[in-house]
Amino acid sequence: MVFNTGTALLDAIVLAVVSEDARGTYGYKITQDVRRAIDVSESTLYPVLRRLQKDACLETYDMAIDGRNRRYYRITEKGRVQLNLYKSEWAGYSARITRIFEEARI
Amino acid sequence: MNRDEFMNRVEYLLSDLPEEEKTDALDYYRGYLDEAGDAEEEVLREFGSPERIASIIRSDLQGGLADGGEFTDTGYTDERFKEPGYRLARREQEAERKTGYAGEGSASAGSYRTQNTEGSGMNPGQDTRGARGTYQGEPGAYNGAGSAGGYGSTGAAGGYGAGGNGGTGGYGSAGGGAGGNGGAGGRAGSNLATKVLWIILAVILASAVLPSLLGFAGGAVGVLVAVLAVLCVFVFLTAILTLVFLIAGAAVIIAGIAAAFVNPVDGLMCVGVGLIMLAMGLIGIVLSVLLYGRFLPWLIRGAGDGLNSMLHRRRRTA
Repeated sequence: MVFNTGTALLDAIVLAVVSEDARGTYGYKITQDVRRAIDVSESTLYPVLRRLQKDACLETYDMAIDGRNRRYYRITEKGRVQLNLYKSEWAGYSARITRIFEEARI
Repeated sequence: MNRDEFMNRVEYLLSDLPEEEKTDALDYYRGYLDEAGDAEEEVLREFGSPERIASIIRSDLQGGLADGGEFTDTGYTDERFKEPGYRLARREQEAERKTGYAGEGSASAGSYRTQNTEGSGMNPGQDTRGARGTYQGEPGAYNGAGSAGGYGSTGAAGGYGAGGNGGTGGYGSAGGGAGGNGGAGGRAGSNLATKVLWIILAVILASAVLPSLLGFAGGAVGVLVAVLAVLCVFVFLTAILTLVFLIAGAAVIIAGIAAAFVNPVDGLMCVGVGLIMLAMGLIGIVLSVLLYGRFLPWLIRGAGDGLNSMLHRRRRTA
């Protein structure tokens, strides 16, 4: 499609998805949830999660599920602050764009 | 490619990464496939190639994702990770390999180059080794011979057949004269070989000059054809010369060993000459390998194995 955005929006979407569950969620589920909104490929989110983790917006912990280890991602306080910032930025940004479009005469 | 093969390949491609980064990434993707369950195959297909996954993991470490990635309404896309237009990612990977670490591709290229320089410096090196052998009769000199012979596995086989006579002659009681003759023959052979070399060089030079003359007369097509022909001749001659040097070198060394029983100084000198010839043969091999390119890793490995067995065999007989 025609609209491109940097990685900030992807970060925001991932943070939002992870924040949905207070106990945290895992890579596969995050990917499926993000795919509800945008079409990311199965393999793309690892670098994003890794970066958010390094930036301390996400934290991880392991839990044994069905005899194997599952890595859970949970949003941190810093992540929440960041997500809030993204949300308000997005609200303003999308509202301005929408207004411009509504005012346009076609 | 099944899941294990796929992930093993990814692991291999990331071998140079810090252990922690690597395990983290591999755990993620392995876990991902676990979670996918029945959809595993489909997910694997979407993963594309191990190379793609490896470059995605790498991009994160280098912060490359922020520069290259684009997020559109149809999804997050990164030109570099697109499977069909994958060339960009590949190129970046290759550049990394060249600068960064001994990856699979560059390993061969790198060792290639060092081999080459070693090859050109081999002549004097081998020379001193031969000289040392002459004065001290060190087993090291024979080791050198053994290793040199080992490289020319095919050539050496021929050399053994030729040199075999001289060897038995040297061992026998009446073989003194015969051994000496063998040594002389070896030296004559090396003279002949140098003559042949000069002739071949002259031919190459002549054929290099000829096409330019033809080119003036016949135009660009003539030059092209001639250059191609010269290239073919060069490639072919390199292989032939290599073989000649190896066979002659092995023969001279064996003759020299035989002669050494009668006249040690002469014999060891002969061995030295043989070593030099073998060294030239080695340079020829390096050249051939350069020319034939692809066989390089296979050749080196094969040569290494041959060298080992040859060394042991030599020691036992000596």
